[in-house]
Amino acid sequence: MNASKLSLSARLTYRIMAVVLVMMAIIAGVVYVTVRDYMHEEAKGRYLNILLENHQELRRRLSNISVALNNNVHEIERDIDDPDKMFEHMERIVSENTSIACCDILFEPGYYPSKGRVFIPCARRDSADHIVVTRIDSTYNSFFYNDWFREQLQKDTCSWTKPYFESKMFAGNDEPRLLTTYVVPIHQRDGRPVALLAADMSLEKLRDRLMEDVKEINDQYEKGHRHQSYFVVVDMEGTLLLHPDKQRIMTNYDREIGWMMKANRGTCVTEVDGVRSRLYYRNIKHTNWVMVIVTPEDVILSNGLMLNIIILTVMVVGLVVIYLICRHQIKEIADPVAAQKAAIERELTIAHDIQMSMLPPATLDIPHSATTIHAMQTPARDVGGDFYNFFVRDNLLYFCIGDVSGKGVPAALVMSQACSAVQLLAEKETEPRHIVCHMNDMMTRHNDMSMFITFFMGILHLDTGVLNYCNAGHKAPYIIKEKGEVDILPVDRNLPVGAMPDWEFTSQQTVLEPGTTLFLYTDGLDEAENAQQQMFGKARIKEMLQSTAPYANTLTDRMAQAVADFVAGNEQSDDLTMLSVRYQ
Amino acid sequence: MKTTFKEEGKNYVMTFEGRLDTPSSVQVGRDMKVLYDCEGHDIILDCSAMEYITSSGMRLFLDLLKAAKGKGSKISIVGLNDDIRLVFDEVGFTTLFEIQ
Repeated sequence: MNASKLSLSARLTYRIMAVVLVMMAIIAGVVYVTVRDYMHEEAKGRYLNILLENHQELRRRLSNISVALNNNVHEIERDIDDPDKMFEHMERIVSENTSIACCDILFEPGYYPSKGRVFIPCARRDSADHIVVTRIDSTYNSFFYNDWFREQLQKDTCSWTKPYFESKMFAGNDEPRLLTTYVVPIHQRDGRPVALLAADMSLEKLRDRLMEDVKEINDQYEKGHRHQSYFVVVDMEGTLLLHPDKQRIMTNYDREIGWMMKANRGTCVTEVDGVRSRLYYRNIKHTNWVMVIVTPEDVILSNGLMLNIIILTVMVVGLVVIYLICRHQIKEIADPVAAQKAAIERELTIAHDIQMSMLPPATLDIPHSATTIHAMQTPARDVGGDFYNFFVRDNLLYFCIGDVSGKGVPAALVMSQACSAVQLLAEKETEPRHIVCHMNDMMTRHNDMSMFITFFMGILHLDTGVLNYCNAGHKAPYIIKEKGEVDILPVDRNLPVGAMPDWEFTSQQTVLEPGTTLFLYTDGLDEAENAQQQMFGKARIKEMLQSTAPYANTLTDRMAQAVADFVAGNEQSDDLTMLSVRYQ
Repeated sequence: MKTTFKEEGKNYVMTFEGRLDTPSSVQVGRDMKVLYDCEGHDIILDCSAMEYITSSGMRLFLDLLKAAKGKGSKISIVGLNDDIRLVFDEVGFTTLFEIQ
C-alpha cells in the first residue's frame, strides 16, 4: 500500500461523505427556506387574526352608535320646536347605549333665540357610570363653530370625526380620554339642516383591548427581544390615532403609510422608528382608519432561526454518526481487500525474482572464443511466459528462446516447466530436434489447457561455425552479415512445442561465417504498440539491425531503446525478449 | 470480442468479431464450449471480422482442434486477414487447420 496515497477505505469514505454532505446542504437549504416561510405565514395568521377580532369589535361599536343616532333623528326632528325636550332625548340616548360616552346636539348659533347664542344640550356618562345632563353654553370649544361645523351642516351627511382628546373640563379629575365623534345632521321642518347630533365614543377600550392582545403575544412569542410587537391605529393621512405611547397620539406617523396599506388587509415591510419591521394591517370599514400591528422582523425570524439551528444541529450530528459508521463499515470491507492486493503484489514480486533467477545472466563469457552472446528481457507484468537459455558444453554453444502462449501467472507456470525441461534435455542431447521432440512429449502430457510454446533451439559449434537448429513455430531469427546485410534465417514450418503430441519436428543446418550475428526475439518486439495503436513492426526491426553496429550487446541495447522511444510510455502489452549471438 | 453461433446444415459456424486478446479470451473460451459437442458435425470458424488474435486466442483454437479431432470433426477457418494469416503461418497452424 502506497503510503503517500490515501488507503482504499479512506478514499471510499470521503467520496461517500462528500455526496452525503452535498445532499445534507441541499436539505438544510430547503428546510431553512421552508421554515422561514412557515414562520412568516404563522405570524401573519396570528396577527391578522388579532386585527380581525378587534376590527369586528370596533365595527360593532361604531355601528351601534351610528344606528342609535340615526334611529333618534326622527324623534328629535319632531320636537325641533321645543328646545327643552332635547335634554330628554340626550339622556335617553346615552342611557340606552353603553357605547355612547357623551351625546349632544350642536345647534346653529342663535337658533333658539330664547336660549341665547350657544345652545348645546348634552348628556354624559361619567366615570362612576352616572348620567349627567347639562347644557354647554360657552364657546370654549371653538371648533364647534368654525369651518368644520359649517361644512358638516352644509354636507348634510353622517360621518365620524378624527379622534381627539376630550377637554379637561369634561374629563375633570380623570385623564382625558381619546374620543371620536359621530355626527348626524338634524333638519327643521322645511328640510334645512340646522344642527348636528353628535355622539362621542371612547377609543380607550379599543386601545386597552389591543394592548392586551399584543402583550399576550409579546409574552408568549417575543420574550427577551429588545424590540417587541406593538399596535398602532393610523388614518390614511398618516396621523397616529392610537399608540402605546400616549405622547405620540395625533402626531404625524408616516405619510407613506396610507399608500402602503391600500388593500383591505395584509402585510408589508418597512422601517419604523429605525427598526426594520413587518406591518400587519386591516382597514376599518366606513372610516379612513387603519389598524396596524408593528412587528420587528428579528422577532419573526428569530423563532424560525431557533428551529433552523435545531434542525441543523441534528443534521450535523447525523453527519458525524454516518461518517463514523461508514468509515467503520468500509474499513471492515475494504481493508482486507487492500491487504489481499498488497499480499498478491508481494508474491508476484517474489515470483518475478524467482523467474529471473531461472534465466542465465544477460551475457556469457565464452573461454577460448571470441563469440559473444547478449540477452535482454522485460515481462509485461511481474511474471511472464518468455524465456531464453544459453550455455557452453564441449565447445558447443547451446542457445534457445521461447514464448509461452498467453501471459502473466499462467504463462509463467508453464515457462518454469519449460526452462527446467530445456536445461535437463540439453545436458544430454546434441541434436536440436531431439531436444525439441522430448520437450514436446513432456509438454503434451498433462496439458489440458492446450498451452503451447513457440521455441527456437540452436547449437553452434564454436570452432567450425556449424549451426544446427530447430524452429518450433517461432519467428525466424535475423542474420546480420559482417558487412551489414540483413537476412532471415530459413526455417521449416514446425508446430510449436506442446501443440500436438507425436509431431515430427525437423532440424536444419547452416554454417556461419565469422562476424555474423544472429538476432532472436519474441513477438513482444514487433508487436509493441504505441498510443496510436501502431506496431513497431518487422520493417523497423530490420532497419535498426541494418543501421546498428553488429555487436551482440549493442544490438540488443539499441533495439530496446528504439522500442522504448516508439512506445513512448504506452502500457506494454506483451513480454519482450531479445537474444543476440555474434560468431567470431 | 463478440461471437455468434449458428448451425448451417451439418456445420457449426461461429463468427468472431473484434480483438481476441488475453482479457477477452476468457469469455470467448466459454462461448466456444458449444462447439465441443460436435459429433457428426464439422466446424467453421469465421474470422472475417476478427481484427487481431494473440497466443491466448490461438490456444483456444488449438484446444478445440484436439477435441474435434477426437470426435472426428474437421475444423476450417475462413476469412483470415493477411496479418493474421501470416501469424498462423509462422506458428505452423496452417498445417493443423484447413484455412480458406
